[in-house]
Amino acid sequence: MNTNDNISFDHDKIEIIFPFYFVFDKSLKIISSGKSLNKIFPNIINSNFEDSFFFKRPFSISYTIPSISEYTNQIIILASKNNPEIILRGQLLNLENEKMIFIGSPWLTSPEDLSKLNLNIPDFAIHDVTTDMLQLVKNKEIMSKDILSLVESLKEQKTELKISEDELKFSNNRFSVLIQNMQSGILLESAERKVILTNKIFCEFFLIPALPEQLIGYDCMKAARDSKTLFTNSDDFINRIDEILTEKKLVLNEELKMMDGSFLERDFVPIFSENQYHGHLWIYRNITDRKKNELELINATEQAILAKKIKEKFLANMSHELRNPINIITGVTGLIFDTDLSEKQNEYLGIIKTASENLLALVNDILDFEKIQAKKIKFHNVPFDLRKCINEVYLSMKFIAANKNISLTVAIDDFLPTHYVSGDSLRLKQILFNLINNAIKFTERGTVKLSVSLVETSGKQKRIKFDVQDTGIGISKEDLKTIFDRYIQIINPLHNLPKGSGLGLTIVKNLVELQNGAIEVKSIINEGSTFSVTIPYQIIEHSNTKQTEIKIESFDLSGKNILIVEDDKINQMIITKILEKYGATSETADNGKIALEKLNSKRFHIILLDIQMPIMDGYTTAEQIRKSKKENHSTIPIIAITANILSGEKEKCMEAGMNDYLSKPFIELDLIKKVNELSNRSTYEETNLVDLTYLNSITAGDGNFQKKLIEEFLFQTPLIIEEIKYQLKAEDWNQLGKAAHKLKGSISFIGTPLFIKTASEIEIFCQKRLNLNLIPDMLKNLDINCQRVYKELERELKKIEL
Amino acid sequence: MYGIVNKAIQVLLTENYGLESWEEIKKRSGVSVDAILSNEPYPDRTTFDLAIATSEYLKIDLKDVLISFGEYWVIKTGQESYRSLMKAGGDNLKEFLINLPNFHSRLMLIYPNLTPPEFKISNIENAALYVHYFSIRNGLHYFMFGLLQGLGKLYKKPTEISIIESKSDGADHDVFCVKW
Repeated sequence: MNTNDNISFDHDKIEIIFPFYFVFDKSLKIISSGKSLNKIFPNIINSNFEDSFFFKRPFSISYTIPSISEYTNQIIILASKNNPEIILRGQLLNLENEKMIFIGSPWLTSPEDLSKLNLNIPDFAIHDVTTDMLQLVKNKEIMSKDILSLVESLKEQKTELKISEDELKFSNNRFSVLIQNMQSGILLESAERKVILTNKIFCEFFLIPALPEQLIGYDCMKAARDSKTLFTNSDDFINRIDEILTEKKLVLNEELKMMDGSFLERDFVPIFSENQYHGHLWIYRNITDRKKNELELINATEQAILAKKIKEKFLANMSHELRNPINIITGVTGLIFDTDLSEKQNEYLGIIKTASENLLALVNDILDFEKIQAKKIKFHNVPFDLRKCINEVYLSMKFIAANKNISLTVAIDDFLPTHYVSGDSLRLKQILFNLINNAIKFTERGTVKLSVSLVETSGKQKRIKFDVQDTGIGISKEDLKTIFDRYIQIINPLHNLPKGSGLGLTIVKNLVELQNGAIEVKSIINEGSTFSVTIPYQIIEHSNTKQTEIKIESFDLSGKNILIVEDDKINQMIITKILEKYGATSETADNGKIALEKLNSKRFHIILLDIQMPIMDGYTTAEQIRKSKKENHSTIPIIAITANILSGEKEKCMEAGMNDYLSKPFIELDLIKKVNELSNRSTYEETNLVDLTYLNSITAGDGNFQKKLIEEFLFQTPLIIEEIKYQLKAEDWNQLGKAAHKLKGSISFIGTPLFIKTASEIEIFCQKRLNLNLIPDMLKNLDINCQRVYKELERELKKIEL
Repeated sequence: MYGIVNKAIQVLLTENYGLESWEEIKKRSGVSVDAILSNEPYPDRTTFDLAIATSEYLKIDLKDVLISFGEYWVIKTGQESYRSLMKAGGDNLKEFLINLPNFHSRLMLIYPNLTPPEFKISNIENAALYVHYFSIRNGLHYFMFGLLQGLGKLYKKPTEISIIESKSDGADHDVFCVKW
């Protein structure tokens, strides 16, 4: 290299550092080239520069040496004339003898270009950075791939998120649609009491002039305060919400009354998830129509109850009004019969007696029927002598039969129990009277036969059959179908006119069936009918009932002074006369007030007390007597005499402190029996408060067992009473209620409903904190009565021990 | 080590043993990156930890794991990503191996944070040569073994590779004899 413009040339060395070089002379003929260039241009030697290449840049160059020489300080970009994609990048230098050399290398834009040109990395000079550039290009590609891959991955994640979002949106949408379409007002609140979701109906209920979606995020606390005036009790509305939100417990069907008279019903649903409180849901329903219907129903029920009460009251009054005159008629008739009478008078009087008895039967039928209808009829379950009961029926009916020249016979099965049975003897008599009476009524000739037989035994229970057979006119098949229907009367061709209420057989059927019995009828026209009744009775093996048997002959009331409290003068007279017949003396009082005055000044052995009286009625009178601190007032026997025989009357009388009960019109014998029984006792305590029927039944008559139970009662009860007193003093109503409950259980088996009721009332009052001021008096009565119960039970114990 | 190697490991394990195995191996190795970027430099320890975790999880010798990684890199990933450049490395295995020292020196220029191993080729014969492998890291010579094996397969030359000298035996570098 001698000058700056001319470079000396050594092919071998040049080729190592510029493997893509080529040299051309002044005629532009290529005279030398590098080995790597030869790979791309295999025939380049001796070719003309202009035939092989063109200047891509500078494109303004002329293809002459002087012109080209001007560009030695510029980048030269040559393209192959045969394949313009092959580009060489480099520079030109002047050599000696007007030759020029190109040094550079192929311009590659991607590593793939290498293979296109059939080149390898070693074809490039070590200093050449072309392949490094290709590596960088490659790296860029890889990086791009990485980025694309990450973008794809992000896209996938985004798609997944979108799907989740869509699902969530769909789910939310469904939920929202559901809420919007619900017929209830819905308000979903966050734990912070912000509206999450609500619906149109809610807005309507609360008169909110906005769309449900506009309320989202709204402060519910403020909204509640704004809405409170819609409710009749606005403060309660707010306070209750606070209370519910504090408790965070499910609330259902809470009623709210609105100022406009409508009603809303509200539910509160707290929303917990994994022990975390997330908010709550209010559901409001308009229940105005339902409420209206309910109120109408309540009113209708109240009206019905009222109507029923009025009817019962009417019946009670009518019963009283009807029975009183009948009582007078039968009483006075009885008294007249005791006087000297002509045959004619006797006959007329007999007619009056029969007519009054028929009238009484009619009244009784109607009242019994009412009781059955009202399901108020009660059956006693007390031991009675079945044979004696049948005999009484026979004795009562035989004269009626005899009057018609009909023979009444009774046939009792030998297998029938000789002992007492437990059941309701009065109802049995009523059934038999009714059937026999009917049989006599429809029989002109022949016999009426009562047959009693044992049909079935099951343990201690026996089913006893009563057949009432007549030789009367019989009943047609048609009539048999309706014979037990109410108000149906079979025309009696013998009399051609129906008699009675038409309720007799209906009552009989009901009385039988209510005692788990059965009734059937068989009949042949002109041959006769048979009514068969079967009733189950409990057999009593050992009964002390016989001890109460009293012979009529032994009644002697001489020395007994009796107070008759009765507003009806005729009744006063009848009772006075009857008592006189048995040697008793008596005084009368027109009402309870007068009776109390008389009791304060005189001593009586017994009080006969009417219930319906002016100024002071029988219940109040009895209560006043029992409350009185006068000697023997708490113990003097009181017998209620009332024309009101509706169910529950007896219990009411006993509750008021009376000892027994007699319904008007009464049979003379019944009155005397009761008076005799009670007045013969020295004190009121001797009246049986205790009914051991239940005890008998649960102990199956086992004396030892009864003894143990009674002893236990006598030990336990005073302790319970003491506890009640103690708790009353301490005013610990809970404990007092519990003690009363214990007492109730203890006394239940001695059959004293009044005490059980009192104990129950004390228990309820304590539980509900009601009438607490009444408890001391109730307890006092209970205590006094318990003392009597103890004495009675001690007597019972002695009897058992004997 | 640049990410592209670790990425090759990821692809190898995912394709052969499933995504769950890769996640489990990654978890065991303690490598906490979510996505490996090819051109990011990663500590050499990362590659080695991945190899150890793979060995434990798949119950394969660490040596075999590293050889597999090396071979896979050349045949699969290298081919996919650098096919043209690798092809341009030489017309045949011998040329490629002779060019290997320059190739790696160039890599250092392109990847400024990478310290690629250095190579020297000696004992060049018609069908054999020695590859001298100088690495500042230890334990990856089996990876190199796998790479050489892979190159043999790439150039379709049944190749026999033996370790002439080894750093683990006290030599200052590893020497592989490659015969084809």
